[in-house]
Amino acid sequence: MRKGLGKWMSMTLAAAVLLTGAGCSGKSGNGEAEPSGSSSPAPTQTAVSSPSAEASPWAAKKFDPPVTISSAIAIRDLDKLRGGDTYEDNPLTRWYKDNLGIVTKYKWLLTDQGDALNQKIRLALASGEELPDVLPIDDNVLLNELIESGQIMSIDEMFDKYASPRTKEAYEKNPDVWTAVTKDGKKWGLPQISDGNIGDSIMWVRQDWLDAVGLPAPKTLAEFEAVLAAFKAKYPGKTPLAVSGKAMQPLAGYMGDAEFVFGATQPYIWDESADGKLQYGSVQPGFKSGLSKIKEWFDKGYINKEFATHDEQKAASLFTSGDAGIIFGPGWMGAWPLEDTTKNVDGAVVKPYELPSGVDGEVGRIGTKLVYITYVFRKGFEHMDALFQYYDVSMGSLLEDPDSPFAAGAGEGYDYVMKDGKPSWDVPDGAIELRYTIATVGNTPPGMLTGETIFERVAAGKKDTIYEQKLAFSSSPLYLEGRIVSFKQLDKARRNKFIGAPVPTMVSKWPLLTQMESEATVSYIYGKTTDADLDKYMQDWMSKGGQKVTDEVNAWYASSK
Amino acid sequence: MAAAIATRAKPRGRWNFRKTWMLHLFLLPSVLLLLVYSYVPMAGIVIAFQNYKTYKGIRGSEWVGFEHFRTMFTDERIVQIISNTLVIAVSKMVAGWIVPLLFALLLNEIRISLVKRTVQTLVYLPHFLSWVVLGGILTDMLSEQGIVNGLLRSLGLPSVFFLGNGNWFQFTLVVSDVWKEFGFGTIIYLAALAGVNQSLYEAAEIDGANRWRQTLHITLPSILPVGVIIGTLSLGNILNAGFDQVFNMMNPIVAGRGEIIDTYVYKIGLLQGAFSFATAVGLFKSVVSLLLIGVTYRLAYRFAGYRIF
Repeated sequence: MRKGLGKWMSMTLAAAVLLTGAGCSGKSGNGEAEPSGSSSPAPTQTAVSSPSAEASPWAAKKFDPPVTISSAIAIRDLDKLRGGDTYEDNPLTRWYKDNLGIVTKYKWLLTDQGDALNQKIRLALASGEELPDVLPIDDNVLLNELIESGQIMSIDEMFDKYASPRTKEAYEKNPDVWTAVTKDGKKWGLPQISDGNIGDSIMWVRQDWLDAVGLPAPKTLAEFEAVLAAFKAKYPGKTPLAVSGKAMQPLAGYMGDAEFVFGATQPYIWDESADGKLQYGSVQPGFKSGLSKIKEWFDKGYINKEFATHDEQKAASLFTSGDAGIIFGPGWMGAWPLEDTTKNVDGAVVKPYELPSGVDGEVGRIGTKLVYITYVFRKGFEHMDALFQYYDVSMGSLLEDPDSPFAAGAGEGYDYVMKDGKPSWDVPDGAIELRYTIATVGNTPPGMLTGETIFERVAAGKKDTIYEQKLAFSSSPLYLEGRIVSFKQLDKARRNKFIGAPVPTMVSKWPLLTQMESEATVSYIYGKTTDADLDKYMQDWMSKGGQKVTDEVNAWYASSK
Repeated sequence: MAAAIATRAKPRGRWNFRKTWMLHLFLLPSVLLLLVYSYVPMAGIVIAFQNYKTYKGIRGSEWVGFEHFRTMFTDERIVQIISNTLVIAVSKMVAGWIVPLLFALLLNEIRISLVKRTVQTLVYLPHFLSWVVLGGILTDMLSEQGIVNGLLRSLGLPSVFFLGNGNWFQFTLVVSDVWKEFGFGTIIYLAALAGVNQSLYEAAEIDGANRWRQTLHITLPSILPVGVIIGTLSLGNILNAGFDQVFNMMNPIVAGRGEIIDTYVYKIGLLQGAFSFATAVGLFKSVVSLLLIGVTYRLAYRFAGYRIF
């Protein structure tokens, strides 16, 4: 599986759970969240913070004659259209056409199977076919090929010239997102910005078990072990901690991970060491002490004897069936699958908590990737002004902008309907997500909204804005609680700092090194190997290519700054 | 199959295009499709000898000779991977050949048509399940608390961690694959059995042969040609150990014994974006397969005396 797919799963699952995920946010409305595009070609562009009653507030920004921007999209089975709409003519694309004069055109319309879009792009590169104006890229290897191909353009000047103030602000607050698209000091694409925590792990506990053993939620590793021991003593037939170990990164699945044990030095990622260089977490001393803890728990029967064959959903089912009392995983698990717990087990109470500290006394988890998709632009594409205008408008609903045309949803009749002049999200034939955009920032960029998050506000019963009403309609209390907790330890996330295309030695050696890593990890926990073997694995990892990879990764890191 | 039998039944005749041009015309579309989709793309194997970059194309990419093959053979795991692949694939081929044959013979003895048809449909059903689904089901069935270990324990046998031990893992791969696919093979054998001339059995009965004798001397020889065809056709899979299945059932404890050529190519070629290297491994696999097929086919011809091409 592609590196980081787990967290990507998080995102898509969360989106599925909460069809119109409003993302994180805070008290909005202060001037900066106003639509204040600076990209209209009209010479008379000013702030449009107070739309006049008679004219459309967008009139000043409309492109006349209309501008056509071509892109590509891979259609999924669930992308149904209603009432004679087409992929290029539906409520979403119509709004942009009628109000901004931007026409959406899909040069490539594909079926979302496997890597359809990526394959199409590679074919076009190989055959010399002209690319669409805008392309969404989700693969760093391909991104790198595109940059080297010379068929896409750098956007530095155009970003400075056309990006709206709030677009610029979002990128200023998250400068790390540029790393993967930066080459030779230029920016070769526009990265989406994730909310930075959707996949981040928190601790889900059976509160009724905690109450039964009379312990508070653990805050340190020692307290955590005391809880495990108490659970095991109270319920000898159960396995208190649900862990999934089947993934290529056995202790970091998208649900049922054990990341917190390792504290500040997280395995499976490249993080900065004290000297400012990147180092691989799974060959650091902390990895060993973390593993020996997990082995201890495994030996004591706190973890299922077959956890290595359990994938994420199986691990979660151990919790929902009442066999396990603790599982680590993202905040959205409150909506799925953990809400099943109370249905399956009488008297079960599930509660999310912040992570306890790990073996080094620090709290840590692997952070959600900041960028999942990067937009690249065909060399010779002339309408970056329109593109940034489009981008600004599409960002509005993610910033809880009250003037956003998409506040209630992407399209009436799809993800919302109007009832008595008010939006309702109870769509008669089921809600459908409209995805026919050209470019959108994707999520609420971290730092753009301050104050209480929308999850906290809705959990507290607020239903003032349309965004709050939407979230209140579509979410359960446990989901809100989970998301609130996942925002609590944002600074504890350790992010993978190597986000470039695989370096040369990685290409040939990484599968071997990954296999050594997962085998050494799991065999050790299962007691098939000793501490000495674990030391040997770390040496072998270095000598069999790991050292070379580390050097190359650091060379990349130096060049990306 | 029918075509093969037809050509065999017909004496190798003169070239009579005037009479057969229409048949050739019928053949043309499939030949064209085969050319376009199977033969022309074969030219792509040249990238195995290049450092292929999509944007440079085949013409612009740098030539590196046998470097990728060298890299492959210096990977310390390659011997293990090839031996895993061979062990798993050959076991599947052999078991997948014998089990449907035996099952078809047994099923053919059932005289109640309803039972026969029901069983036939039931054993055919797993063929349609995807390994993604089956992977999860098998993990449950084979777990410590699962139905299989429950059965073993009730028989007084020790329970087995099927997916956590290299040998058992390979065994599980083979057995579950046979279980999934044998219904399909059974149908073909049943069809062949239906075509056996009934008068032969009547004659044998008059001669005093019992059911066992009849099976041995009439049924088996009659369906042997079909058996040889199925066996020969399955030779193409000699290095296909089943990507879907292995990928979905693999876990870190058995990674060493479970890794096969296809999962290796997937990890390097797709996850790391090394198309040239993946092509080199794929080419190696094809060449070895071709050699093995050639040899086995010769052997089949010599011992079974039957050929399909």
